[in-house]
Amino acid sequence: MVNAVRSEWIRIWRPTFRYGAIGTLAVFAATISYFIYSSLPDAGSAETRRPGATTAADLEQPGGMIYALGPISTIAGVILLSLWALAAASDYDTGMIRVLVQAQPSRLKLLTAKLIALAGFTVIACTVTVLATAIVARPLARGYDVSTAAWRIDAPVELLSGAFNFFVPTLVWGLIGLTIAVLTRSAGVAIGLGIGWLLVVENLIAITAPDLTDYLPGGTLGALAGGGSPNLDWSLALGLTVLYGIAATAISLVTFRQRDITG
Amino acid sequence: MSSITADHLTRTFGDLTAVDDLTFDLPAGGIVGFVGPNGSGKSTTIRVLLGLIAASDGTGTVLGESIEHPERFAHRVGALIEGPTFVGSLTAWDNLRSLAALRGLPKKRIREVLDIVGLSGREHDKASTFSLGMKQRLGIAAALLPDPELLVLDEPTNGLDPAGIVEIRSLLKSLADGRRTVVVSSHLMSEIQAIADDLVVIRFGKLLYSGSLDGLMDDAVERVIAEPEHRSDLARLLNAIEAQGWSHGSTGGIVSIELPADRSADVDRLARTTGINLRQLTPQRDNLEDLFLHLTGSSDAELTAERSDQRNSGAIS
Repeated sequence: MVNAVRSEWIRIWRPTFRYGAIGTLAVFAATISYFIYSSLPDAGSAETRRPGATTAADLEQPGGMIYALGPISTIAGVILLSLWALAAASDYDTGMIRVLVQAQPSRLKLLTAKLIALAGFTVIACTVTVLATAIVARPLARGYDVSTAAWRIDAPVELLSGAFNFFVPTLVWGLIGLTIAVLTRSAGVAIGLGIGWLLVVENLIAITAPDLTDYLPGGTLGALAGGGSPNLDWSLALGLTVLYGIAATAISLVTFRQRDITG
Repeated sequence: MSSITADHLTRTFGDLTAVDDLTFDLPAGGIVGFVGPNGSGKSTTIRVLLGLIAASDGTGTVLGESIEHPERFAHRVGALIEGPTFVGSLTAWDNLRSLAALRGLPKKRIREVLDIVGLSGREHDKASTFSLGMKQRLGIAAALLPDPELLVLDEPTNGLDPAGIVEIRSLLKSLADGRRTVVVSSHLMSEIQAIADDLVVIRFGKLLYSGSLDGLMDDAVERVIAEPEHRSDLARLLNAIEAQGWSHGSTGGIVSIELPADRSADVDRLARTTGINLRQLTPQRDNLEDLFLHLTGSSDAELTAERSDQRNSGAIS
């Protein structure tokens, strides 16, 4: 298994993935953080009474240093879904799958190694994102007169729990991307279906059956990223997220194991 | 000992029988040619034997191990199936390093295979910058990583120019030393004839011939090609040939006489005694392609059309 993971890691840690995914996430982290702070309304203005608007009070809470991870989580999910889908489907697109399966006939081992390697990549990507968010937070807070006094309260716990709530949904988005890629053997289709589901289907369902939305992948993973939501507390969101991850893993393993390598 | 055996091996895809009750026994050592026209089922057969596709029926062995357990022979087999495949943005070295890691092989093996295929010095170039011939050689290098007892190469000269084909041919001959079997699949019969010791010939997934190349070439027809200097002499030449009782045919002023090559002088003597000068006198022997056409009676395009007709009529199950 170690050999298979090493092999997969060499292919995944290529410049396009490294700079493309991790670099993009870091840039988004900084950019979204900037927009959050620059969009803060003046205290007492009409905008502070707009539901959902981020206020200075929100940012001044313990854990405010990584507040931006919540809004970043959807984009991070899309990026990692795309990356995992590319990593899986490119083996079919290039024909590399023939070489891999001939060299290592245990498909369970091959796909598990890919999962482990991609999970490791996701850990690195998420760590960079959390760090980027935390690093830009302080100068932005200073620039927009947001108090950081409370950020020191339980800082390690807040940082770790925020990172956890960011990492787990991102990982499951990746698993979903990989599963669709294994089913369709196409990165483009996998990415299109994943984004289409998140942006179109779940929004349509939200209109017709809003109560259901919280339990769909986008709603559940978004709730976990935000530390829970009014309709889905943190522990339930975590449980559902884990179930989605297990289901995606099982589907991809069974499909990959049984399917003929004709490409 | 056998390198590969097939016992009533069959693979169907819906109403298409890609591999149809194949039974053969390939010897170990040397070069085995696996030939047939495009779409004859060569690549599908290779995929079934190497465990990429499950057989619909029948069994087989690779290096004495059942094809249902490819994990038992994978470390002894190297394969290049339907063209080289690499991550283009990685260097040749990193591509091979990834595959070496998968097989648990040391890095020094990468250097060795690059030397064998003649790519030393280019290992730090991205695979996407390689020419087609270099990619083919890199694919062969990847297949050689486990120092395999069995090397299976599917169309290794595909897309190469004549110089590239000669290079690969020379490389394959050097690889087929006493302890290694090289199975080369190709639709280019001339290439197989130049290097193979044994042959498997298939058509529409069915076996046409399995045995030594020399054994098949025993059926090759020899003939002498003669062309009179003046077209007006053709009729007299044909009459003289008929008087000898030699089997012959004529197309466009050229006569083809079924005689062994060492009797070319007899044809020359006959022509001169008849007062005919010959512009051309050439001994000729059927090549593998000619023999294949005799076996099937059809060209590649005709075979494809025939198969399509059979499928449309439901004759193929």
